[in-house]
Amino acid sequence: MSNKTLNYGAWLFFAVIITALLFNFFTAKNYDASNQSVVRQFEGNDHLLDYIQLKRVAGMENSGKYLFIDLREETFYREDHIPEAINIPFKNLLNRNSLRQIKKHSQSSTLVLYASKEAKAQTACMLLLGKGLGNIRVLSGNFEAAQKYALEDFRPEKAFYRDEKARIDYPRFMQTTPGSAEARDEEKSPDIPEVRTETTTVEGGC
Amino acid sequence: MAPFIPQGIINPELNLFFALILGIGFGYILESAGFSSSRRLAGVFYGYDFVVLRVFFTAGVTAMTGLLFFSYLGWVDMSLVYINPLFLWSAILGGAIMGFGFILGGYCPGTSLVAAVIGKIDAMLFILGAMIGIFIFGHFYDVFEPIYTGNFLGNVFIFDTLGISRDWFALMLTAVALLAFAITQMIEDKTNSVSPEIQNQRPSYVFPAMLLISLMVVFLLIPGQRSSSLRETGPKALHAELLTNDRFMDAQKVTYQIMQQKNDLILVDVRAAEDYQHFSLPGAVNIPMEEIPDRAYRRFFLENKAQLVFYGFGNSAAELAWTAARRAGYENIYVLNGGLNKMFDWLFKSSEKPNEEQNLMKEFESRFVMQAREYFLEGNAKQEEPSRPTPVIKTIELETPGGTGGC
Repeated sequence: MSNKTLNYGAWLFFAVIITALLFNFFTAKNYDASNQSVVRQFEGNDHLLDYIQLKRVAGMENSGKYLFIDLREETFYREDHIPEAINIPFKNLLNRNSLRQIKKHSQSSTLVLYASKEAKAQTACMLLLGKGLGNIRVLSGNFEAAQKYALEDFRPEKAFYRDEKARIDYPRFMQTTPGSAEARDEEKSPDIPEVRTETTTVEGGC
Repeated sequence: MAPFIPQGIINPELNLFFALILGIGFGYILESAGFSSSRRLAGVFYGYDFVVLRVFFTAGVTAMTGLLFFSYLGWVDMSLVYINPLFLWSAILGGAIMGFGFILGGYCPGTSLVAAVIGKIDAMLFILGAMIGIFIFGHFYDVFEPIYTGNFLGNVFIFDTLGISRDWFALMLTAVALLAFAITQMIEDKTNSVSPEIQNQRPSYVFPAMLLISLMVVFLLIPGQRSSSLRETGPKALHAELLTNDRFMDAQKVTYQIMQQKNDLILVDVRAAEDYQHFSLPGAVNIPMEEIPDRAYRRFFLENKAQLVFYGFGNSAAELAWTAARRAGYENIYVLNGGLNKMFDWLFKSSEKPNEEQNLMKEFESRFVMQAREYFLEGNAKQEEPSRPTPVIKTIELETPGGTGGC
């Protein structure tokens, strides 16, 4: 092979990689953490702040270790909020100013998000984690519940109140009688691909 | 073809076909690099010819660069690439025997085959010797076994033991390789006493070397892990979607669909697997929330035509799953509003018989609730066998111990 072909080959290698990188750079969305890594942080619900912790933390004044962020609208915030909380309405969450504010605070203290619904605070947490922020927790349950069960009058039996919990003994409502269900199984089960297991043996070598 | 077969890009049955093509290519390169000559090969040890070092270093560094970038871009899944595990004693002993045999015989196993094919008798004898060695090893394997499998360290990487990052190690290795090329060239010229005129006529390799170094510097500059891809929904768009309520589907509609037993709606249970096995809605499939963006389920989401309804006990898990799925770019997804708790509250705790004062709509609704209640209680909505959306489960079996290796 002549020197020229070698040079062309090197160019080609270089060009393919650089083109792919540029394509990736310009088409990628504005996230700083991958979807998988964000979702994994919700595993086990360790990010939820229960009411025992809330009671302990909210009592301390100006400790600076925890900062509560109220995601509700400003009018609700004005009415009542967790002591020392700051207000960033959910609809302004990804504004440049809010993001800068959150980033600044997250460096010095653990942020605790809460809203009128737990799901809203959770999705806000997911969005912020996707933007590369860290040190964020979510108050379990919602603001009303936290106020009722922790701040006004502490009720130990409700200390682990949260949205994602079975409130009914479900199997009681679903009797299983064989026969009646079998016909349904055969006729109309949703169109889902079959289980396939592919085993591949990989061998080394060079 | 390590990463291609486990990813299903290449059918395992074509393995032998690709082995043939790769083998032809490998042989061609060995022969054209002059590796069929034992004088050239042994030259490394005497200082008059370093072409072996240069060829293998170039191949290694180029392959490393390619793999680093390809895995960053998601073209190659490095977790599926086979890495030869380290058995300390067999590596040291085998290396020593290999080096000794290399100087003595003038070949390494691969090059001896190349040389034998073009008719070199010494290479044929070298292969014969290798066969005898293999036979002896196989025959007295019991004796050698403690050495062969002793001191197993697993898949260790040099950069881990050195305590530096992979990217820096790659840059350093590239720099060392390029430096080695220059130095060996100088040694070679000195030993062979090449005149400066001939040295100047030699083609310059500065340009490809610069390309390689600049690629490695680029790799240092880009973040360690790709955070987003083309298909994903951007944060602003996702946030805007979260502000609307279009994603919610009411318990009434879901119940109606369950009772009608239609196929245009698939329930996806995003709770943990234990909760799902304990109880689930009829016909639901289970994808725990943390696994939504996994590669294994991508096909299920992309090929699906029906409406997918995510549900958990409450709203939290389902909405998180919805957010992750929408971010991944999956379409036609809904959230069961209020989750199982609200649905069953509505079904079993709402008011009893309709009064005559109530309006027609209320009466319809409570009649529907009675029907649904009956439907659930009488077992028509039987809990089906726990099922998952059944992605293709790919298992990779690695050969242990030792695998096969060597050149």
